[in-house]
Amino acid sequence: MTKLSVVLYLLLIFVNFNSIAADCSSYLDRYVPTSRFVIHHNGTFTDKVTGLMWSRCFAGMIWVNDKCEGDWLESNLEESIKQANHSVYAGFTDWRIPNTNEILTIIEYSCYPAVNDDLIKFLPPTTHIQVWTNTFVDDEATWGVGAYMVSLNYGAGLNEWGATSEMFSLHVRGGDKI
Amino acid sequence: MKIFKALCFIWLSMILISCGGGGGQSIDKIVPVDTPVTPPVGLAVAGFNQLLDITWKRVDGASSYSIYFASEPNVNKDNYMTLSDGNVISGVASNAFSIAPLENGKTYYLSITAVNLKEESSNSYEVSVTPNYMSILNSEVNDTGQTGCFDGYYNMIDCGDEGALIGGDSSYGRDALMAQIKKLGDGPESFDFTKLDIHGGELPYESTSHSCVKDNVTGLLWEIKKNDEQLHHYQALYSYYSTDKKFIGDLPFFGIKNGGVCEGSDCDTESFINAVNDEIYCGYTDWRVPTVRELNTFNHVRSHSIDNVLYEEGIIRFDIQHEYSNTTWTSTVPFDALKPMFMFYGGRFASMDFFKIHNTRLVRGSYLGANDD
Repeated sequence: MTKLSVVLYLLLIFVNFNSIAADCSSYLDRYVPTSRFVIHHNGTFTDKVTGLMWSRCFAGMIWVNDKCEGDWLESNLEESIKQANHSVYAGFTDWRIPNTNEILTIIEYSCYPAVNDDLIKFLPPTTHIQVWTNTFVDDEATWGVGAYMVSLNYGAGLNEWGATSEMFSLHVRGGDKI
Repeated sequence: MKIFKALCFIWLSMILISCGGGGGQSIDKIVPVDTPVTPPVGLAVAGFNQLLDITWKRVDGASSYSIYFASEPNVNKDNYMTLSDGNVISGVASNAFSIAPLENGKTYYLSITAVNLKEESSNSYEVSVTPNYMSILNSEVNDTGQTGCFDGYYNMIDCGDEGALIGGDSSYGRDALMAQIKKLGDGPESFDFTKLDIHGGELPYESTSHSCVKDNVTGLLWEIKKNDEQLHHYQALYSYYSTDKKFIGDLPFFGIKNGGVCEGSDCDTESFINAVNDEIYCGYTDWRVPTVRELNTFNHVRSHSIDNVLYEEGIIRFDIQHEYSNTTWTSTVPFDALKPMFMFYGGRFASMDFFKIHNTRLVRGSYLGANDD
């Protein structure tokens, strides 16, 4: 019985820690203060300064009962963009992957991983949370076309990355389409 | 004994599950179900991009709420179906809700009822809201200058070509709205710059004697490097030093004092800033090292990131180039104390330590409602 209860308890710990929370610096000011945003009740939030609306869940998940459910999408650049094009989330169908300037408006450098988890929920349980931008970069010398990405765990800078790499995505809407 | 074990396991499981459950809804004050419910008060509504948020005060004894809305006034539970866009959302358990997608620019009228097992209250008073969309043209977000599309394989192609993958950077933002943009100054793609002389006076866009460039989108003012072997020399290298930041926890470590190679000041970032402020450079005395997100707004991404179009167009007159370092400091301090500082090189940002020297392009102004320093 003892063994069983230990197993069960570990299982519960695993469930509870299935997604991770951000750990924030106590001595740095927040770059992405929650007060800059309005958190809606359908899994989205609006940046009052930029006007952009963001998904609180990573791409691939849906908002149910104040939680993100489903699986984190981790895919190559083309699939990630197509998935965003076809995404239906919170009733909206105009989701997309943010560009470099847009993603940097919500990167919280003073936290690890580098997000404000008042806003973005249910981080993938990995130490390699890399998210795509839709800003392409052509590096013929190495891997051809790719895009800039941000690693939320290591440095949170912009880096050029090959299109075949598999990464997570955050989705944004607004910002005016052609 | 086996049965006892099994029972014990079930009992223990229930305890563990109830412990691990977390969360839980708040339960309204227990009121007999046959007590009449009153209509909600304290309604507040706000409009966003194709979305509205509505909140109200909880009603004693209510088990749920119904939100009636339409694009005509005087909506209630009896007439909503006869009104334009009339609709109801029933069974709302909390006292806050977002409705989407809605039409921007259209005014919606809303009224709420409280519901319990016995009855539905009369309608609350009515509130109205017009969802609206803040165009990127009215925000501080610069675009990247990217105009090409990815073909899904290995190439950048024109977005009108067959096989172009739609959904990339060039499909959205200021660059996609070129026809609607009215620039205060000029610049490639949707960039909008005004050149200033050393006293802050405006210069024509064609000028090559500018000392600063104002970005009319972000509002930031950028220092322009010169080829004059003086304070703003484009090949200067600075160590990072700042006495107004604590970098690694509470350790009193401010960086490296005067560790670079430069002209006109001690060769660290703080000494350089002080010297530029003493000049009242372009009319200002609040120059600082930019953050990562600020520096990226001053970068035109074409296909190769190192082909900075702003340099080719003469906006940035002398690019920060050096055989040792094509890099510049930012003031962004990430959480990871092992890599305490970002640097920027050709469109990329990466973590770097203090024991290096880089050029520094100063900035002044605020971005995203905050002074980023």
